Amino acid sequence: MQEIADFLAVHPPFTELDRAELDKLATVVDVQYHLAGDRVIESGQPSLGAALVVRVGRVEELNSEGTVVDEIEAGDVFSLDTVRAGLSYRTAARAAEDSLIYLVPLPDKLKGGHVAPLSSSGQLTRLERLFDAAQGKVVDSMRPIILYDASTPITEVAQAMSAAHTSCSLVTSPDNQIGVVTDSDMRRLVASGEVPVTAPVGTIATFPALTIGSDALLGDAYLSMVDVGIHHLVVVDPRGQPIGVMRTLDVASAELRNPLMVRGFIERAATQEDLVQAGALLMPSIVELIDSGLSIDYVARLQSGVVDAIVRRAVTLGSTLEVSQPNVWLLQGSMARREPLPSSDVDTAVCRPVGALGDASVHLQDASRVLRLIEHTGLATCEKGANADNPLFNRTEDEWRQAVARWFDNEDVAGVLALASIVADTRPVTGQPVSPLVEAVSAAVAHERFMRVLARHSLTLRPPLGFVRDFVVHHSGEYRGQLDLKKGGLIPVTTLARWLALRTGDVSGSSLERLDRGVEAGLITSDHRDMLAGAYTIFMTVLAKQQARTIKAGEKPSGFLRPDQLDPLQRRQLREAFRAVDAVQSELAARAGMSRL
Amino acid sequence: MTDSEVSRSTMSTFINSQAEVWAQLDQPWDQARLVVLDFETTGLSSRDAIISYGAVHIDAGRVVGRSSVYGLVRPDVALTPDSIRVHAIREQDLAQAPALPEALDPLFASMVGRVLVAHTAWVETGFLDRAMLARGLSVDLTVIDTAELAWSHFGLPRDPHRSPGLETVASRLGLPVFSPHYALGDAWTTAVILLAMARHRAQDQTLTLRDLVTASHPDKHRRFGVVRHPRKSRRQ
Repeated sequence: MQEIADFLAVHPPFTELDRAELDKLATVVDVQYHLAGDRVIESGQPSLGAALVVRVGRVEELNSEGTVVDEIEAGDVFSLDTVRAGLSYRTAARAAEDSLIYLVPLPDKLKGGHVAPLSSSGQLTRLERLFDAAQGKVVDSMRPIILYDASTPITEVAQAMSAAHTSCSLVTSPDNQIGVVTDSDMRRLVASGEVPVTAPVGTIATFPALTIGSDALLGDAYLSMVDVGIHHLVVVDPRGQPIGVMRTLDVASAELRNPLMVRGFIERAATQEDLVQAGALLMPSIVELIDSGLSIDYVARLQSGVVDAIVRRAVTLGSTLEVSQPNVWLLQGSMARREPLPSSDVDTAVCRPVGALGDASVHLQDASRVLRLIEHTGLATCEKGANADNPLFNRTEDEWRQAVARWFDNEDVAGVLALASIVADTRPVTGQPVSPLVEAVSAAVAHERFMRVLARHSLTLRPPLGFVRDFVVHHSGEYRGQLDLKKGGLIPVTTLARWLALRTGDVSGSSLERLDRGVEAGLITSDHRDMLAGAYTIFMTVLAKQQARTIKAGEKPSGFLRPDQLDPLQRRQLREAFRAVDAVQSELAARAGMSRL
Repeated sequence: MTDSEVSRSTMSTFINSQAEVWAQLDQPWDQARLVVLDFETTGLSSRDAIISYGAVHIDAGRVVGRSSVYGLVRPDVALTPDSIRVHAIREQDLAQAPALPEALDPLFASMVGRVLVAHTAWVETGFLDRAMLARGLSVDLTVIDTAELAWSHFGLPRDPHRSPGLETVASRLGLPVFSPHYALGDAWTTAVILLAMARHRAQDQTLTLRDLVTASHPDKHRRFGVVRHPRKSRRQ
């Protein structure tokens, strides 16, 4: 039918078809007519096996609450992904005007996802992508509830929420309405002194809470939240009884976990609770990126960028210091080098500007508040104490200058290594570079003993020799069941790269960039660089993939690997990488006349 | 069987299926099986002939694209310049086409067990009657006429001397016109018009096929019988 072919010819995705294909397609199109207000599609209805194209009129897409989430106008396609995937419809459709609708079976050519934007508004594709990752049922993702009578004192509910690690509590009113009280309500009304802590919780709860049926789809739950601008939905059973709570981040789809979007959420976070919820999206997004096969240094850069944003926002939202010149927050370690793994913790330091008011304890307490907020976002702070609330890492500018001078003269190897890390692996996330640390980089190369100790150390951190069955063989002859790939693989390379960075007087960038500068400075050959960089990438990739699996299994990621979990290719790659690092270390040691034993 | 016997058999199957048609009359319209048809002809007199047909099914309130049938018919009368101007079908286009009665076999096959729908239906039923009578067969055709439904749909007083044109009705309903004066295109336009008008009529009540057939025949004695029509212009 020519009219149908002509119409489809100018509307995506059918614009991909040539005339012969359009003419053929037009012979199998069905037509329906719906009056304004009629349901065209019910949510959960099996796919009609054809794309619904509005020919005349206008159709509204509805979520499970009956809220309009999109409008499909003449020429637009409804729920294309459902047809492509042969799934049930996840949203309902209702005619907003009397509408003539073409049901167009998709030819194979259009069943892929490579077509042009579907909707003139662009909203349709966005929503469809969103739903793809949110097809699960609410009942499978909801969290347990705590429920209090509206007359319960706020303090009691707050304690219960804290003990249960939940960000909200349900509240029943005398007339049996269900309300909700959140962390944010507590902060806004109670912490501000607006409502006394002894007041009944009913005074700060929101009635009635927005509810959603337990059979609803996650995508619908998320849209409800976005529509109303809330972060909690009460899940009810068919009798209307509350059985769980959904939080925004429980339903957030892959699209939401896109690092850029996560970063946007973080930067727009207006409250600590917002930041906590946004921060919780980071790790799932990193895991997905690792799974997608993106190069690990790229993923690490993305992770580092989002962590920067979290720390910066946590300082803004968590610090209560009232100072004219704010403290400088520094990231240390792998975050400073922008090469973190999923397991990496956030090492921090603070430099208080010259003339900063308040004694150290005030600043330490303030840093502690910021760090606790960072921890709430799901990031780990340093277990070994390299944290901004440790007096050793929270100093005035003068104190940093004195400390650096003292450490250069330190006889102790551990002191040398600590100084090298602090000086070389430090990056400000708020404020300007810290002068004493910048000056120390330039000064380091002149401290011969310091550089010699550092070089020796970086050449004596020996990787394992390889594997025998399920054991790791070390130079010491020791056999271990677990491989500490961080210690045995990453640290030898990063330490060597750090020494090169200090030798070249430029500590910026990642270990790989430092190796490049080592070549430019003639400190290592390009063969050395290639061997070290190749090995380092293998260590990072194997660890990242392993950690992604661990996180998906709901466990805590670490730098350890079990040899029996490595496939033959990984074992061979790791063995070769260890030998490459060992070979470079031996050559450099021989050149420097050092013994490696 | 000869072609002629096949043809007679197809027509008989259609006629025998009328019991199925009557059985559907009290069903809601959107559960019934309909066939919408249109003819292009050499003219509208008793000497004129069909030169093409188009038909499409409506099942459960949906026009079914795959069911479309279209065919050319070699007439036993000459085409007139006027008719060629209307449908652009020339003698040479029809030279290889089958002649009646076999030419309509695919159409009769498509109509089996279905209530007929046409716009200004006396034209289609008149030619169908003649085609059947040529075989010595006859049946009371049950038909829905979208031209008749259009009068009441738009709240206009019925004019017994003229019919609302197909394209006019489609446009007033805000619906597309499918390839005008091409038999299958007109069948599609008629089908879509029926969907729209039936949905509106069914808005506040259950609408059966009988309701639509009754509304299509304001003159009671013609309701469920062979349409004996006056000679008058078919389209505006």
